[in-house]
Amino acid sequence: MPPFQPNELIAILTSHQVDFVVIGGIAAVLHGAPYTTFDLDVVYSRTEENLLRLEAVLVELDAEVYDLTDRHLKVSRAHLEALGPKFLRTRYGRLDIRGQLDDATDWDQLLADAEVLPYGKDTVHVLRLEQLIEVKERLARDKDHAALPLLRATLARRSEGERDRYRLTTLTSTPLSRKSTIWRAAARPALTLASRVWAPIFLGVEK
Amino acid sequence: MTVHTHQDDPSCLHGSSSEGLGNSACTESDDADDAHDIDLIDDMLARSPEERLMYLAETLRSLEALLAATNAAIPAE
Repeated sequence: MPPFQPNELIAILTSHQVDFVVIGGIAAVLHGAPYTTFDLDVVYSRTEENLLRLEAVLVELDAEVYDLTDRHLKVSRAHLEALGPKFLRTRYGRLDIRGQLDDATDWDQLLADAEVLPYGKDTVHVLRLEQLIEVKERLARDKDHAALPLLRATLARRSEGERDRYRLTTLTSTPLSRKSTIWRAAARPALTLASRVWAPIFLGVEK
Repeated sequence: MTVHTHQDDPSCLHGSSSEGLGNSACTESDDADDAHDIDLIDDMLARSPEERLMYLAETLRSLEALLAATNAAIPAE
């Protein structure tokens, strides 16, 4: 079994301009979860053009369908057109591809809400952490139950971090705290009043 | 776990969802995911500690490259 190399898998998918959204454990890792996984899960677009690109990728990866009876099957067009999961062995480890999520959300719907991360000169679309948690709550397999506390904690810490960043941004961007010139500008009328009105009076009284 | 028996029909993918394949003649297992995990466990157990370390290191190197490429280590503003 070759080592799992997610970067190499994503690099080939993006270089062939395959339309896909990363879901599963690698999505969790990309969202900052201290999580380990040994497969790349993606939902792909089932347009004709994309299936052609995906077929080319699978050939390059020497992909074979994982088969419980150990047959060495190549992925056919019929398989790719189908919605369900295809568990594949590739030269860079395990690649699980599917036409839709477990709740029938397809690529188009996922794309609209996915997080977009830079990837070299390209971008990669990743399922949001909130959605990933929802998927794992629905699937409710042992490994999902095991991962959920970590994912929820990561989401909570990210949210707290964003709140902290917001507070910091608000404080540092408050005009009065940020610009000393504003303080001086605000004080200028009082200083003028003091120097032009009160000072002569006091000085006059003293005289 | 329902194990598929149509070994002569290549359109039936063992371990994939029959819904996904659109082939009602296929009685598929949805446990291929688990079976794949067990394969990984067996594969790791068959390796020496040094080989396991090399295997994991290779994966971590790739993850590191992925995180660097996506800049994911820096939370999005």
